[in-house]
Parts: sequence; structure tokens; C-alpha cells
Amino acid sequence: MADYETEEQQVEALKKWWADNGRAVLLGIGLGLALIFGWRAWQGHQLSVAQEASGAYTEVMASLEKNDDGKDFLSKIDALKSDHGGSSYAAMASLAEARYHVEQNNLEGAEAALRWAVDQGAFSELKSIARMRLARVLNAQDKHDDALDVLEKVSSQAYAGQVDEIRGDIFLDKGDAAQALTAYRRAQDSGGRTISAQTLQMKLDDLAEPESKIGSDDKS
Amino acid sequence: MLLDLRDGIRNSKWLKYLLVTVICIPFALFGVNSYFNGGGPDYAAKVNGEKVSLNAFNNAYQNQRAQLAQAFGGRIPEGFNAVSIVGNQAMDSVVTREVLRQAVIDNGLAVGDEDLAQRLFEIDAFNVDGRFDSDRYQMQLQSMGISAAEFEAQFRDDLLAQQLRESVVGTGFMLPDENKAVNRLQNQKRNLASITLNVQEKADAIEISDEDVTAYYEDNKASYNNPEKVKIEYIELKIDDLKDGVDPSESDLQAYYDQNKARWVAPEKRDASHILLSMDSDASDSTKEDKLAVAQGLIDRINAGEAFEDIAKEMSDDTGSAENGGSLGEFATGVMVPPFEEAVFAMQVGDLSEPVLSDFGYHIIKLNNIIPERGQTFEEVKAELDDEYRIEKAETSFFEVSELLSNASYENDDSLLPASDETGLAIQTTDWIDRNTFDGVGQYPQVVAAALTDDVLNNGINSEVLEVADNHVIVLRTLEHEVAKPKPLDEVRDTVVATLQRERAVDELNTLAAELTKSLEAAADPAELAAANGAEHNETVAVGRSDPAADSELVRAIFAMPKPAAGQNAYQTLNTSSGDVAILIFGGVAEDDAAAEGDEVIAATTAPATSDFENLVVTIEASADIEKNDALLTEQSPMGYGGGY
Repeated sequence: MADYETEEQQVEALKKWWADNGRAVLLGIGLGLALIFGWRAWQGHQLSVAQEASGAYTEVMASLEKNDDGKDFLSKIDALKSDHGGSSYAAMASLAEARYHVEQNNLEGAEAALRWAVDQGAFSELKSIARMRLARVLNAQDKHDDALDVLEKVSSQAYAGQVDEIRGDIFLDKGDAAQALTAYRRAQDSGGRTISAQTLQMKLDDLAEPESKIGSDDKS
Repeated sequence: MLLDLRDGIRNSKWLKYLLVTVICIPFALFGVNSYFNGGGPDYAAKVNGEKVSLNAFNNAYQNQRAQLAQAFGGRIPEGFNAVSIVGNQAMDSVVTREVLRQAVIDNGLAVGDEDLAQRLFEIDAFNVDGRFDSDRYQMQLQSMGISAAEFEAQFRDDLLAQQLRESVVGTGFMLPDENKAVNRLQNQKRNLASITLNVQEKADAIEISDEDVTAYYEDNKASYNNPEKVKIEYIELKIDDLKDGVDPSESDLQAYYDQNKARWVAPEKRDASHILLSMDSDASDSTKEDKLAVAQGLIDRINAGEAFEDIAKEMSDDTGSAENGGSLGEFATGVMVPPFEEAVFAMQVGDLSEPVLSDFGYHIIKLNNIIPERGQTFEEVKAELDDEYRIEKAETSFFEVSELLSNASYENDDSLLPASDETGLAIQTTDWIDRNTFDGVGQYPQVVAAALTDDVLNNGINSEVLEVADNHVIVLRTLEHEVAKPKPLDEVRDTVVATLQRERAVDELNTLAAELTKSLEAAADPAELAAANGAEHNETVAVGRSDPAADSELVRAIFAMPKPAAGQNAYQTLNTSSGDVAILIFGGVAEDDAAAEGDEVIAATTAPATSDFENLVVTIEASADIEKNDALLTEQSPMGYGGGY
């Protein structure tokens, strides 16, 4: 603002400014408040929905204890998926569902549950885990190439060791010992945590190849 | 108004100072604060912009440190770089915790208030007689120095992280084929025969010339050193010695028992019921008279045969107890208001009191039961008391005397005599001690190390007071010193000869093993071959991975060997840890019927998927923006971590 001669002039200028812009300022404040309260209400709503999903998940897990051939468990999971499909809890429940089916020797069921977690699950970090398990279930159904394809999509470096060990298992099932050995070696070199270092070593040792000639004068 | 203030400040010196002082305060506080933190950041780490408090780090640090100390049997050895190891562990654990906290929130995991309460009730530490007790809860939180809101927020975070963990780890499985494959590997047996060439027999037959001995000795002098050694004089203070000096009299122990009675004796408790006719403490006399009359009326009804409990339900203004027929349960002294307590503790079981006036109004009291004082008498705990008393007194004097010792040996640092006079502790001396000494004061590595420091060794200054163990300190001076020097050849000749014999024997055996392997590959009979070369032959056996009857070294080696072609053998020379040289004859994998039979019954199993979760955490951490406060991880940490002892 320019310099004003007297205080009266300043007051006049302020009044004029207010007359011109007052409505806009009030509107702005009003909007801001509405936004803040709206945001908080939205967050509150989100939280209560999340808590509901959490409760439903807890019930799903508790129903596993029931002795009713998993009826209650499976129907509760369906309900959770339809009511809270977008919640991470639905994805978590899918993992439990897959394990249930594996125990029942129902590999198709396990496959479907894991595919749900991969395709529709909300928890993106859980997808790598679901993919690795899916690949194993596919392999158990002799769908070797599908299994290898699924593994391609596990992107996180942290799982590299686990993924390569599963690859090795698949190749071995396919009857390709050479590729299995390469995969197991990569798994060991990845530095990532595998299910059991000892088991991996056992698998590797079992595929050990003779060197060009056994070094009979090898002193080591 | 502002103008007035400006004029006022201009004209008043005092107002000016006041203003400056007020402005200074925040700066002063800020300054002090950053002094405490060594000027470093005021957080332990930042994860995606959110701070992890120093306090959380400190707690983790103390936990890890305690665990480490426990692993070492109570005390972390000196020289062990605990700050950086423990600091890094603590840092990792708080960062992981924060990363998980954020991940569960970002992914919309939540715990409802009811669930939270439910889980809280299950925590044993907050329960009294198997039920959640809110007083106990508050007390426990207070002792942890944390508010209920903070605790519940943390507990919620923990529950969520646990929920996530469980959803991954708890859903792992092993498919039947996978179980089968692992089982087959685990139970695999391999046909192992071997020829063992004994190193000792060979070595004994080897002649070593004097020139060779001398040459080897000259080359390896350093490994035949007599270590650097010292003789020291020292003053030692141990709590055990002080303990013997404490001789408590009967009356000392009696007094100690009385002081700590609560530990051995549960006080008398009384079980009473009451009917309350409530009344403000400043009620008028007429109200009081009215209430008293009502009370008297109730007493008459009870005396006329009506049940106390029924009247309590009907009339008592203490609604909580009224529901239970007026029962207040058991209580000791110090719980109830004084007039009430006095009345109760003067009654006999079954008595009904006259109306008793307290701040709450008139009480009619019935005494249901007296639970007498229970516990152990003085005589019963006397031995225990005696021991505790000695330890307590000894600890006190230990700190006093070690303080004296420390001051006196520091102020007169060219002799131990003043310290000895001051403390009454004798100066003792040692014979030669070195870093390998395993008894006497020489067994403490700090002692030899201190004796060899520049100040003590070359400048003749007293060492610091060394805390060699809990409640055990030593201060010392070096008397004599001898640098490390090689042992003379004659002293070590036998060792040198044995070493050389063995080295050559191993070489020769390896050459022999190579020749024997060639013969074996040319289909020589192993038993005959062994006999012809004075070696031991072990017949073929099918060994498992953890066969207790087989030599574990050979088993490990054969299970790492490539499989031979069908109908053939594979060979490998192994230098065993005993020095013997073994030729392994791998006759292929033994087909095991039992393992194949077992295949049929193999089913899917659950298997904790720990690695899935660990890798999940690594994944989430990799995508997080993590900034650690490195100042906390160095030895010169400004934090000090408290509790360094």
C-alpha cells in the first residue's frame, strides 16, 4: 500500500478494502472450516469402517476354531470380501483361506483364494507373498509354466532368494535339474532370507555336479 | 496503545530490561535443551518425515543391552563395543517398529476400542485375582512413567503390527509334494566306505634335521613368544570381604524385621458390611437427629430378626455395596475413613454397631469376619534376614570405602600407602602375571591392561580404580615389567619337531591318497589297498545326515559330493580335523524303502512363514524414507544412555 498521510486515511482505506473483499474472505474462511470439519468427519468415517472390517476379520479367524467343516469360516470370508472388499483385511483373510484349502487338499480352492489376493487384494505389499504361494500351488497342480509366469511379477528385491528357490523347485519338478541348480545357486547368492538356509543347501548339494575330473590331488 | 508502549519503553529503563529478559527466556531454554542433546537432532530417527523419539530409542537400547548382558552371563565384557552393536540393534528395532506402524495405518488396519479393551483386560500384569483392576493398571503405568493415553496408543500399534504379522506368518503352509521332497532329502542315505591314513604313525616315522628345526624356529619365532609380563602391587576391595565384617546383633535384626515387616507379614484384615444413611458433613443438627432416629429404627428392625442384607439393599445410600447386601469385602487399616475404621477394628465377629458418624453420614456396621495377621515370624526368617542385612550394610560400606580408595589413590598418585592407610586395606603383591594368567587378580584382563598403560608403566602413577566385577574393585601400581621375548629354541624344540613332522606327514599322506585314488579308479580292492599301505579300511555303510554312529565330518563331506554315475563310485580326499587323511568312497545314494513308503501318507502341513514376513518388512523399509540419528550410534554418543553400568 502507498503511504497515507493520516490515520483517518488508513482507516478509510481499510474499510474500502473490506467492502470490496469482505465477502470473499468470509467465504474463504467458511470454506476452509468446512474442509477441515469435512476432512475430520471423513477420517472418522474411514476409521470406523476400518474398525468394522477389523472386527469382521477377527471373527473370520475365530471361526476357524469351529468344528463345522469350515462352513462358518468360508461364509464369513465371503461376507468380508463383499462388504469390505477394498479393505486390507479381505486380502489378509484370503491368505488364511488359501491355507485352509491347502490343508483340505483343495488346490483349486487355494489357487482361487490366492488369485483373489493378487488381483483384488488391497494390500499391495501382501501381493508378493500371495504370488509366491500361488506359484507353489500352481506347481503342485503341475502347471509349471503358469507358476513361473506368476513368479516373474514378484518385483521386490527382498524376496529374490525365496523366489529363486521356488523356481528351482519348479524346474526340478519339470525334470530340468540344470536350471534348478542355477536357480538354487541364485537363491543362495541373493543374500535374501529364504525359508531355511539348511534346506536350500541340501537341495543344492543333492544336485552337485562332478567337476571336470574329481581332483584326487586336491589338498583342501 | 502501541505508541504508549513505545514511549513507555523509551522512558523506563526497567521496562526495557524486563522486555529483554522476557525475550531471552526462550533462547535460554532452547540453549539448555540443545546442550543436553549435544546440539544433535532431538529425535532418534525419522521415518517418512515422522520422528521416533529419543525416549523410545533409549528404552530399546536398555532392553537390548540387558539381553546382551544376559547372554554374557550378567556382564558385558570391557572392550566389547557394546554402544555400536547394541545401538545399531536398538536403532533397527525402533525403525522397524515405526515402519510397521505406518504401514498398518496406510493400509487401513485398525483396532476398535472394544477389541482394544478386551485385549488390555487379558494382560496379566493388570489383573488382580484374574480380573482387570483399574487401580493396578494405573499403578503399573505410573511405574513405567507413561500415561494411559500413550500406553493405549502404543498397545494399539503393537496389536496392529501383530495382526499383520500373524496374517502372514500364521498362514504359511507346506504342500504335500514339498514335504515329500524335503523329507526325501532329509532321510536320504548314501553309501559310504573309506580308507583312513593315520597321521600320527606317519609323523612319528619322519626324521627332522637340526637345520630344519633351526630354520623353522627362526621363521616362526613370534609364535613362540613369552608374553609381556608384569609384577604389580595392588589394593583390592570386595563386597564379600565386607560382608564377613558385618556382625548384626539380635536387636539389629529385630529392628530390620520390624522396618520391613510388610514383606513378610500380611496385616490383619476385616470383612464388614454396612448400611449408609448419607448426609452432608455440614448437615444441620436437626437433620442429624432425624437420620440418627432412622438409623436406630433400622437397628431395631435387624435386632427384631430382619436380615441385615435385605435392609442394606432397601435402605443403604451406598448403592455400590447395597446391591451386595452392604458387603464391603476385606480391608486392612488405612483404607476406610477413620471413625469407620476405628469402629470396625473394635468390633467382634457377628457384632452389629451403633450408628457411627463419618463424613459420609451414619453407618450401621456388621463385622462378618476377621482375617488375622498372616506371614512369617521373626524366628522363621531370621537366617534370610541375617544374609540380607549383611549385604545391605556391606553395600553401603563398599561404596563408602571405594570412594575413599578412589580419592586417596588419585590425590597421592605416586604411592598406594596413603590409600592403604585411609581405607585400612592391605597392599598386596603378585608374582609375574600376563594376559594369559587365569587365576588371582591376573585373571581380570583389565588388571594387566592397566598395568601396561603408559601412565602406570612409565610414569609410575597409580592406576584408576578398576571395577573388575560387580562390587569388586582394584587399584594397582606396576612393580616390574618384562617385554615379550621369544622362548629359547631348546625350550620349544620338541614342539617345533612335532609341528614339522606333522606338516610333512600330511603332505606325504595327501600324495599317497592321490595314488590310492588312482588305483581305486582302476578298480583296485579297497580293503587290500588299505592293508598294503598300513591304512584302515571301513566297509560300505548307508549313512544318514545325522547318523550318530558315523563320523560327522565324513558324513558332511559325502553329502556335499556330486553323485557318481550309476554303478560307479566317486572318490574324494578329506583332510580331517584330527590331521588324518581320509579317502571317501561314495557308492551312490542308497534307495530307502521306508522313505518311499512314507511318501504316501505325507499331507500338507502348516508352516510358520517367518521369512515371508521378514522379507515383507525389508520391502516396506526399502520404500520408506529413513533417516537415522547417527550420533546415537557412536562411542562418543552425547546421550550417554544413562545406566552405563
